[in-house]
Parts: sequence; C-alpha cells; structure tokens
Amino acid sequence: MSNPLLEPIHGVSLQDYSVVSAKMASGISEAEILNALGIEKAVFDEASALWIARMQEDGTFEIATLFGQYFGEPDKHPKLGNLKAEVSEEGQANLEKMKTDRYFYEELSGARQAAYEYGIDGAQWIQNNFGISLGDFQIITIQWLSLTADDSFEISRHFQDYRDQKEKEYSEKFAAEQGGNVADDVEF
Amino acid sequence: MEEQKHTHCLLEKLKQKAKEQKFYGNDYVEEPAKLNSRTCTNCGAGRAKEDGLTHCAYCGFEFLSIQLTDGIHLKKEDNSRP
Amino acid sequence: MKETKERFFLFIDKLEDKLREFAEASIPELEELNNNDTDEYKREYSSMKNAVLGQLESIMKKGREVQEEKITNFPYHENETKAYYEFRNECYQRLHRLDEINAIYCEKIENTQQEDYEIKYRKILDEYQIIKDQFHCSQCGSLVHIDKIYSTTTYLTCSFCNTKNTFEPSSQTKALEQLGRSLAEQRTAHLLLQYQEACKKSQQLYLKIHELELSLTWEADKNSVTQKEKQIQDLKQQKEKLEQQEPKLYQHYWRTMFDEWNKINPDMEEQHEKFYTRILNEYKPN
Repeated sequence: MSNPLLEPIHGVSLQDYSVVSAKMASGISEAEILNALGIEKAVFDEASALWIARMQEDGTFEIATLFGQYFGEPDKHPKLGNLKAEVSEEGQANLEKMKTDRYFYEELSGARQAAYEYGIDGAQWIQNNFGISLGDFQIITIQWLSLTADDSFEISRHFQDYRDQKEKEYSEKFAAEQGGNVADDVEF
Repeated sequence: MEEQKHTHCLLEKLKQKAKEQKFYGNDYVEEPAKLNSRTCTNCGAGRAKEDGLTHCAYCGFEFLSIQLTDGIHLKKEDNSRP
Repeated sequence: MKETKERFFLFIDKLEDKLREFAEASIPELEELNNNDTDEYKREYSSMKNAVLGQLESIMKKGREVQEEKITNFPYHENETKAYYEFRNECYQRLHRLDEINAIYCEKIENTQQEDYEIKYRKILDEYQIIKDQFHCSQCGSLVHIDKIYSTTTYLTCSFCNTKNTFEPSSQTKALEQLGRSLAEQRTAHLLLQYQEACKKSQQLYLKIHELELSLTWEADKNSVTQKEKQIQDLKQQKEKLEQQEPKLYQHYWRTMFDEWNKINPDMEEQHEKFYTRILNEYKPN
C-alpha cells in the first residue's frame, strides 16, 4: 500500500470501516457486526475515530472516495458480506427493482427529495411506502452514481428530467395533502 | 387580514405535521457510562494487564482477531506476546 | 409587451408580499420550536424548517415557471428584437430581485437554528465529576478510578488485581470529538468574522478602484484627474494593507479554533494538528 493513510488501524481496514458503516445503516446491530469482524468495541471506537481523522487530514480525498466505493459494495466483504438485515418481501422486491430499473431509482430519489421539502422525513417515508431502509437506499444510490459516471450529456439530461418530473408529481401530491402551497392564489 | 389568516393556518399545519410524524430510526437513548470485563470463554480466566489484550494468557484463546497498531489509547505493546 | 410587463411586475409583487409575510411569520414559530424541541437531533424543528424553506422554494418555482412561459417564450416580431430584449431584461431583473429577497429570508430562517454547545459540553464535564470514582473492578471489586474524560471505549487496569476492565463512555461523551469542533467554532466565530470582513472590505475597495479608473477614461478636467489619481493611490494602499492582514487573520482564526478543540479533546490533538496543517496548506490568498 503506497499511501500510509490507507494502512489498517488496529487491523481495521478502510473496507472494514466502510462496510461496518453500511451494515449499521441497513439496521444491523453494532454488536453483531463487531462479533463477525472478531473485534471489540474499544478497538472499533478507536479505528472509527481515527479513520474520520484521516479523512480530515487527506486533502486528496482518496480515503473519502474509497470509503464511498466500499460502502456501495457491502456484500463483497469477506466477513460481513453475509450479514443481512431483515427486509419485508415487498421491500426486497422494491430493492431489487431499484437496483436494476433506473427509472424506478430516479422516481424514488425525486419522491424522497419532494418529501423533505414538504417537511416529511424522506427516509421514513421511503421505509413506510417501499420497505427500503436508509442504508440500502444510500448503498444503491452509490451504485448508480458509479454506474452512470460516464453517461453522455443526453442520457444524464434525460434521467434528470425524469427525476424532476417525478419530484414535481410527488410535490403536488404532498401539497394537496397539506391543503396547498402558500402562493396558490397568486395568478399571473 | 384574510391573507394573514391563511399564512397562519398553513404554518400551523406544517407545525402539526412536524410534531406528529414518526422519524426514521430508533429514538435517541442516552446510554450511561459502563465498566465491565471480559473473561475467557474457553478457560474462564480474567484478562490481566501484563498479558496483553489480544489473547488469553492462560489458554491462548483469541480475544481479538487483529493486531493492534498505535491508536489513541491502545498501542502496539497491548498485543499479547506469542 | 408593455401590458405583459406590467402584469408580470404585478404578479411578482404579489409573490413578494406572500414571501415576506410567510417568512416573517415563520421565524418566531421556528425559534420557538427550536427552543422547545427536546429531541437530540431536533428533528421536529428540522422538518418544519425544511417545510418552510420548501414553501419559499415553491414561490420561486412559480415565479420561474411564469417567467419562462410569459417572458422567455413571448412571441415577438423580428423588427422588435431590441424592444423585446429590453422588456425581457427588465422582467428578468424583477425576478432576480425576488431571488435576492428570498436568499436573505432563507439565511434568516437557517439562523433560527441556534444551539449553545457550551451547555452540552458542561453536561459532559459534570458527568465526569460524578462518575470518575463510581466504578469498581468487575473481578475484585476495588475502585477503578477514571483518570480523565475518555471519548472512546477503552481498557482500564484495576490497580489491585491488574484485570483489564472495559470502560465504555456515555453516549454524550462519545460525541465529544464532534461536539468539540462545533464548540471550538462557536467560541472563535468572531475571529472568522474578522477574516471574512477583511476579505469583503478588500473586495469593495477593488470595485471602488475599478470604478474610479473607468471614470478616468472620460475625465477631461485636469484637477479632477489629479484628485482621482490620488484617491486611487490611497485606496490601493488601503487594499494592500488589508491583503497583507488577510492570511494572518486566516491563520489566527484556525490556530485559535484548533487550540480550543485541542483543549476540549486533548486525546485527539495529534490528529487535529494534521488537519490544521492541511487547512493551512490549502489556503490560497484572494
């Protein structure tokens, strides 16, 4: 490893640290994860504090970039890959769809954004309506970001427009639920 | 006047919405500080200072399956000697 | 065009009234909610704030949509291009003013999020005084003194039987590192402001110098020319002086901030210092 900032801390590699974060965000308990890694809290607390400190120290953003990559591929981890949070059948189906169907992914992203703008906790709204946890949502978002990084301008534009359209539709729905928007009565 | 009523009414609704919804994740629980110790699940011995943290001094059972490096409080010297 | 412009201005006026009234009314409500929200993450307050900002955004969206439909896409004859550009420009500027007003209100709304980190820190210090001699070795029952504030789980040795006990700090103490930075920033915010003010002032001087230099191009009167040249020179000197101060103010802010952070969580001083080095290395004067 050429960059000393990437050396493991107490044997906890950057991949370990990223995947622990991803698994915890998916709803798996810290104790279960640390047990699978074969370490105790004292070791992980220090590794975690020091990985954050290394990210702050690293002006090249290499650590943060790699963190994102590992976070997006939690199932590739040799010790933690098999740890799975309980997901409902419907949630599992939606999760698969979100991974494979870009339109569906864009729709949920637009809906989530609209929810926040209407004072609704978007993460909870997605969980309630689609059975997808915040952690899984973040993981799939990262997967799509890397898959679509080399998209042409036209394709990016096409999906951005689709997301905007969906965000607008959900905004209208949320607006109707709260009895309209503040300036509904102002007309040109 | 009518305008102000409308604004006030909308703000009330937004406030209600904020207060009544369930938020993502479990509610925050403030856990107090704790002190405990681990005994070897293999032979029942306690963990003693001079013996290092990674293995049981009596039967060699592995407490931690990693090598400690120099961290905040934990240091290389805390690895059990083979 | 004239009629459309008048209607557009009237429309934006009405949006502006709405925006002002709604934003003004929301601020005391948000302040109250911020003060009374006991949730650790103040989620009720944050949701309400998001909703208020979302409503302001809905006003702006409405303005932008109408602008596009009625102004950008306004049908005009080839021979009235100049008039159209003028008309379009004036209408765009009107919406732009609304955007500026919106930005001011958004900032005011963001500023309702006030948190006194001293209180949180005080709680951690008080807790430490209570717990430091409260724990006993789980093997032999002797007192295990907690010798300082630990913000990560660690092993403490019983001085009597040498057993390694695992000490896990409370949730609030585990947050000390992040809290420490927020608190250090809060304590040194006046220094950051000093630096920002200096930058702003030198920018203003730059604009003033630029303006004077431009006016010289058309100045025929010799006396005025001399006077202006003298003025420009004075302003340049002032600007130079300020620019010399800027890096010092910048460094002074960060140094003081990091000193505070180190005081709050000395266990991480070595890491903080590396972060500080990075920040200074990345600094580029304006």
